[in-house]
Amino acid sequence: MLELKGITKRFGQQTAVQDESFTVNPGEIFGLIGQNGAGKTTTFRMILGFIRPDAGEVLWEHQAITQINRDLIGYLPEERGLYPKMTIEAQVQFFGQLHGMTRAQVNAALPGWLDRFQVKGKKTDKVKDLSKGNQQKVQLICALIFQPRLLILDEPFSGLDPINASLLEDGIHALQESGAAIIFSSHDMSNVATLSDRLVMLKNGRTVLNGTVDEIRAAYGRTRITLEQPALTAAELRALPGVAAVSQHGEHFRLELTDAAAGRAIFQAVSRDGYIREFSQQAPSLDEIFRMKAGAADA
Amino acid sequence: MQRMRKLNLIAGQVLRKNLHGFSWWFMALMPLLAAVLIGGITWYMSSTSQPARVVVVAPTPITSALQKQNDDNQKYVPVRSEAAGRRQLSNKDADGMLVVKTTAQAKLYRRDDGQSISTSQLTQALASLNTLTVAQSLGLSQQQLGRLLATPKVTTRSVTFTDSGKMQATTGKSDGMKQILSTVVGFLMYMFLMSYGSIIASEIATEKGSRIEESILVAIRPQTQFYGKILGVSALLGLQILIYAVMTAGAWFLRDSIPAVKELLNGFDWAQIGWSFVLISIVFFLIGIVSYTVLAAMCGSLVANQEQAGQALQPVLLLAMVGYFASLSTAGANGPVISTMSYIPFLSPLVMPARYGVGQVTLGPALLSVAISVLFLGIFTIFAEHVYASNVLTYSEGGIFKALRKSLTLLRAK
Repeated sequence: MLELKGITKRFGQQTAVQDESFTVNPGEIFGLIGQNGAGKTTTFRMILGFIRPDAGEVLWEHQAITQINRDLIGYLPEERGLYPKMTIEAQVQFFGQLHGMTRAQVNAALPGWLDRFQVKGKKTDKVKDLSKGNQQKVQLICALIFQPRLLILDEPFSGLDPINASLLEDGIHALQESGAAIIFSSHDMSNVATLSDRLVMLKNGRTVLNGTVDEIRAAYGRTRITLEQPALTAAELRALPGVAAVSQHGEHFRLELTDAAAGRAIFQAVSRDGYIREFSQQAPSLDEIFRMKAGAADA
Repeated sequence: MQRMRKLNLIAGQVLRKNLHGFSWWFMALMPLLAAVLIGGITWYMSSTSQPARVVVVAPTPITSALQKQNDDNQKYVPVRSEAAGRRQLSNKDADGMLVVKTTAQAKLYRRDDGQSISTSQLTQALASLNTLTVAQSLGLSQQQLGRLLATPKVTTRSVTFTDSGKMQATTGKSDGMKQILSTVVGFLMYMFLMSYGSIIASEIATEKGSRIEESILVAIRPQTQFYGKILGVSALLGLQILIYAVMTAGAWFLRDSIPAVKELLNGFDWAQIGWSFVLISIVFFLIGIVSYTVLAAMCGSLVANQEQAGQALQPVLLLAMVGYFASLSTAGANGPVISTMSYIPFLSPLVMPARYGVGQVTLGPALLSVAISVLFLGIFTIFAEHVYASNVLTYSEGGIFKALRKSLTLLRAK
């Protein structure tokens, strides 16, 4: 189990992370979200022991993370980097052995990983000759092949097309099933929503959201209604009690409510003809919540 | 145990990467290629060049005496008349014609496009004949003649003077040899120091710039990585010396079978160079390369990316250049500046072997300089390790000196 207990990091006058606390359990996928400069990478660097927190502590299995066997940590940095002149095999061998695998173990495991991520190329190909997407997959294999117990992925989906993104999701789930604690950051809220068991949102170094995706969404109430071909016009919808805003996309309307309780009356109004093709009352999406939190003034 | 495994892994990685590349092999084999080339050219020139052929028109005793002087460079061939000699000259069968009336008076005709004829050798030969003739005409005995022709024995001792004015004997190598030794030692040291410095500085700068460093340092402490890289470069260095040792031993054993090798080996005056000089040079070679590698590794960690790798090499380049030029001027200068430089770490590996080679210092001061360099290397390596650890994941665009100042502040704060 990874535990962050009240960690704070300052760079000169600037506070990068302030009193941040969360835990990531074995077999759990934990999302870390926030705008650029919110403190995500600083948090990762403190977990990895690259920088020391000014206050608080980072523990793995109740032991200071700087004291543990580092072989069990896998890390995919935000800015990708490999040895361009090395072959795929030599590259993965190096990282596998760096994390305690033997040469034979890497050789046995590598074909399976290349297959799982559908890397186009032979293991004897040089990295510089691969496409950017395939290079990214090779780097991912370097971070996963030794079956880390703690996996840290900084923006793992950036630059991946939807097919490769779903291959990555499968890989992360496979590692989750093996009991690894996984923490990742992403700017794509749909990835975060589908992958995370729990998440934390940072804003200017402070934690502004913490919980499961459902818990966080539920805290905002079912204040969004999606309609298709309602019996009312946009102006009529805007005039209904409890409606704060209306937006229209073709035959679809999206209503923002001031109070979730207004939903019942709105349903009756929009289905007064006895039929409506779609009526869905939901909590705001994670993307909307992210935008609201990011745009809100600091507390 | 785990740390040792990772140390070896990093060292092996440095070794493999360089052995798979072109640069290291080029650097390691270039001096050998140059030696083979020089030996080959020397052998080719000596094997294809003919001795200068001088036809001699002279009384038989003189031609016989001159023929006894024949060697690889000059050959005297008697002809009956000047006309016969001219024919040979015109047909390019001879390079010159010597017409001797008496041993005191002779005329030499030589072709402009012929082989060069040593007039000093020729004059000396005629002078000896003349002395002999005059001695005979004066009725001198063989003993008197021997005394007349005896060469005075001159013994040379090279000396230096200490600051207190005391005279000290030195190894006394010739000026030409002094110049060659100091130039070759300085140049080779400079070339290898720069090459190894460049290897490690650009490797670290590239790893930093490509951000692969972060992935590596997840599993390994920066200090272990630092020493792993130094160990890797040391292994490369050991391999380079082993190649030279094997090649030298091979050349030595094959010297009688391969004329070019024999020619090359004969070109060196081993008695003048001496084994102690070779050993001192090897020791300084090792200390120098490890010192500059440590410095280059430290400087490499201070830059942000590979584009700045050149900037990282600047301090290395400057120091090595100072040492190089000092080593070049060693043969012609033995003042306090050069003397002091031969004890200063980073400069001593370039200057001291040259000074020792030309006989300015004896073994004692050279060993003292080795001791100073080794001690300094130990302390400097620990310092460089700390700077490396605090900088290898820090990306500063303000240049290496700003980064160094920052890391010194961090080190003091720890």
